[in-house]
Amino acid sequence: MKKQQQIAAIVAVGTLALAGCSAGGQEGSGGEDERYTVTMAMAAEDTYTAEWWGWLAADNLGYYDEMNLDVEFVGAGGSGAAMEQVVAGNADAGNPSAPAFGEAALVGLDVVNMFTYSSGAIFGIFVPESEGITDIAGLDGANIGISEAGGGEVAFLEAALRAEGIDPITDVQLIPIGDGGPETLAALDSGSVDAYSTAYNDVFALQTAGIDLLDLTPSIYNTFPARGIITTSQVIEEKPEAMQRFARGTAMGIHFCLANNDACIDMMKSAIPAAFEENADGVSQGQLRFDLSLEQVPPADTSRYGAHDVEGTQEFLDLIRSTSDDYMEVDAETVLNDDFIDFANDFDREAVEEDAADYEMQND
Amino acid sequence: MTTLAPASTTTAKVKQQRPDRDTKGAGWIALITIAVFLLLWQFIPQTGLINRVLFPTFTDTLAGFVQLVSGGYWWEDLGKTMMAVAIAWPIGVAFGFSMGVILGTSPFIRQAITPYAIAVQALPKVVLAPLLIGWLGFGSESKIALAVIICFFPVWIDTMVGLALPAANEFKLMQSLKATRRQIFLKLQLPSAIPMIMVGVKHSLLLAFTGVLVAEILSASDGGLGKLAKEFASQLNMPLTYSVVGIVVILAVALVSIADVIERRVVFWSEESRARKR
Repeated sequence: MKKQQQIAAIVAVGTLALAGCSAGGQEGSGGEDERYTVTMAMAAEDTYTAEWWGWLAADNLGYYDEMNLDVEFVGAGGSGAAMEQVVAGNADAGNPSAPAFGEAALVGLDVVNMFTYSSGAIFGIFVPESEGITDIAGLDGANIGISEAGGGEVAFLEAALRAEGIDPITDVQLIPIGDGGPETLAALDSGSVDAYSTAYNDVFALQTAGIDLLDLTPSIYNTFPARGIITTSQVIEEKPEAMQRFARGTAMGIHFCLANNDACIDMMKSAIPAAFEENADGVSQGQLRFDLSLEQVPPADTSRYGAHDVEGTQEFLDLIRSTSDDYMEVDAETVLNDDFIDFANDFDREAVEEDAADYEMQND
Repeated sequence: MTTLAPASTTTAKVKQQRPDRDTKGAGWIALITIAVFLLLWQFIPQTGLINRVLFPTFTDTLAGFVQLVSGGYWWEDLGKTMMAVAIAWPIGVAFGFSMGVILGTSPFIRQAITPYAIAVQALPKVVLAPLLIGWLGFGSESKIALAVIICFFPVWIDTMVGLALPAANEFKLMQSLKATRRQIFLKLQLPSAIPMIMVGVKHSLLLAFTGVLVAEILSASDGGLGKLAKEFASQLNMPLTYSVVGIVVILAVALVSIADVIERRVVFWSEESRARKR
């Protein structure tokens, strides 16, 4: 009897183990009741920042959960790191900035944008007004500050310089001066650099510290994609149902935030309170960044969230490609996947707007 | 004979009074130094000689401290930092002690490992941070790993050196009494080494704290005080940045005090501990 029980136990454990193995990795039959998991590598140290409120709202309001989807948002540190995690298979998707995605695509890595989250220029080129430089051509021979060697802004900056006939290697000096913190202020204040290229988010602190900056960013950059849900064709093949639900939940989150900005600011305050601390002048960087995100990098098409701009993406890829001989030619359509866009937008907008209207504030 | 007694009493009184006077004098000097420091901190940024955004006044910083403390959320970051220290420090001490014992009791292994030990000692451990983040991700694991790597070394070296402290005659005496290697280790080497090991353990506590803060600044996704300081610095909100630094200083002093108490309890017989008690 005892032996029979042992055999039965072994068979039961074996069956469970087999069931577990088959459940991991690939999706099962794909029924609506089946629960899925998605790991999302966020391209910053804070899991939510800048224009990423849509993901936060969807997560907070349970839009993913309602669709039997668990999304684990992991702060990856930066765009390059987020891209690496996706390519390495440690994350199902990520939200690296467009340059990081573009560079990965241009070296032939298996990366796909399945949902264009926002459009516009993330990075800019700025000059202190006291320098007297009024256009990109005036940067010839200048010392230009960048956030870090290999920062996302470098490709944009180099392309802008080349367009004016300035060689970014020989005609100017690029100096890493940080991302808008004390070391950046010191570099601009002391005149160590004549200009500064970085993310738009990084210049607020400088401006509130009394450095008046002139924005020289070429206007064409505002038509480029800014950020998307970047994944790989392998993940799309293995987890189509999960990625579909992820796209819809994200679209619902974006719609909620556009319907009630204050509600999303409130959620951001709870998620990253330190970012919303006011300085001595009563200015909150978090608030400024939120406002900027609506102006600078809004969703490209609010009637069809996630929709791609093929032409803009192609121009963007070509621009990045012009900065290095090592990049290969890539057709934008091969790195844009719109299989999920219809499903993403097929939700009850009025119900989400009602959620937005009924939201109860948690912070002052 | 009768005249000697009052003289010796007077000498004793003089001896008792001198330390009191010295202590009071030192106290006054400390107070005056702090007052001068605070006055300079308050007035130099107001003169315009230095950028007030980068160097806020003392009252600006005090206001920032009140703002931070009233926010409440920093407790979570404090908890994350201290939890990482609480995990990393014992691991670092255990690993350092084990390595020290192995190398301190086996000349063969010591000879074989010494070149690597020197290489590890010479290496600025912070350069390993990007590698650890790549291997272990951006969570608390990489933070703890960096702290362990930074903090285990003093315990390792101090254990190894401490075990070699007994004189050759003492080893010979033990051997003449037919003591086993285990008995020599437990009854001679280890008791001699413990005061030195405790110095390493104390040192490693501060290094673990440093390691955690460095990791938080480099890869801030797991939160912590290092991340908070970096966040405020990136906003050029220097009063809040200075406030976090102030909290870190207070914590460091508290950790050193705790380590001192532990050291005094464990090696109550050592000269240094007795001197401190006096």
